[in-house]
Amino acid sequence: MAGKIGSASFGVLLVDGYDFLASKLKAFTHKATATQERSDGLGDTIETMTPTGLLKLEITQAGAFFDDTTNQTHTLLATLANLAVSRLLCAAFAGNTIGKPFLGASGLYTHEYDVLGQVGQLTKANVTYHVSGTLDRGVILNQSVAKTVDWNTKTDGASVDYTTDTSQRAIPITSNTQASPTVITTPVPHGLTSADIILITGNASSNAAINGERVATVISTTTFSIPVNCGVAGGTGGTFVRSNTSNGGAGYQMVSALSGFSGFVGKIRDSADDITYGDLLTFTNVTAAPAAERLTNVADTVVDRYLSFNGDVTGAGSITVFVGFARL
Amino acid sequence: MLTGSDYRARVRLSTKDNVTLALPGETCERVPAASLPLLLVSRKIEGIPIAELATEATWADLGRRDD
Repeated sequence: MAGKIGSASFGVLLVDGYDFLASKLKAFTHKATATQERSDGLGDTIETMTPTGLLKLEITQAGAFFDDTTNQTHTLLATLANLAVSRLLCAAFAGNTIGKPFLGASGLYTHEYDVLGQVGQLTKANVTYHVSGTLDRGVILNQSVAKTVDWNTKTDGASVDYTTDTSQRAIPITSNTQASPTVITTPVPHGLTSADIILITGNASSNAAINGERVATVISTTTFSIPVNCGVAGGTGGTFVRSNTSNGGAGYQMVSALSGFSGFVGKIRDSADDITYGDLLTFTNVTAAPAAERLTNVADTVVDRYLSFNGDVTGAGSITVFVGFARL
Repeated sequence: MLTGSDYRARVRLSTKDNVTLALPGETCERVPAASLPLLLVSRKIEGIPIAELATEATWADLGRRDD
């Protein structure tokens, strides 16, 4: 069953920094829906629908047990005014581990809480969470565990490499030409833009190896060149994945617990070579929990292959932070 | 091989340990030369206009401005 994800893998559910993960969980579902709006008018003979561009996320925890731990679901539910406002939500359904996928949502938030019965101090319930707005799919950059000093996920040995992201499609290569620069043909649209960096593996027969990281120059939707001299012989086969993306990204930071520290600043950095990093997103200084923030880059920002998260605390204490990043 | 002094950072650049190499607007002398081509591709650094470099060279040749 390697690679399979079950409800036991459901590791994180945070809403505005509140930890909503049930103490015991029987089932978990998440459903993303693209919303549409009726666009037919008087005289039309058929009903027509037009996508609004908005997504709706629905997450359920079924047959789950909850308690009244501070900053969990009961704390938020204590105020009815909290039930229909704009909020941030983060969920990780494949484990609370750096590099695993996460869902981030930002928008109008509501939730339904059906109490099934009570056993001692625990409440068993079916809970459904709705968010209408922006939905981002990305990877966990910092798992939700307590920290007591400054940390850096890169030096901790856990930077995230986009070329190993399982959500990426590996694009097959039909052939590369006998030319300098060599021109690569793909059987399907490659989806690249010029100056994108790609990682090629498995290509054979060229007089000069084209495998490795290359900068692409787009010629058509199914051809592009890379700066390699294959003037003696072209090649065939292989695949490539992208090493970077060029449309910015969205970062989510959720602080679910903070004690002692007078401040905390989180920062997402990226790198093309895993040697020199650049600042990508810097979150606002946090002085109390729960706290949540979603930041985005300007649209044409290049996000490089490696991502890491840096946490700087002020003073002494303990903090629990979850961070996810989605390439847009 | 690119030279760090010909380029300036557009974002803060740092080592993997988060030690600052260049702040936005600063030249990239402390950035490893091997990193410069990829930093250029990802628009984290930009070339310093030749006119600006020439001015800097002139002042360097003449000594400090307040000498």
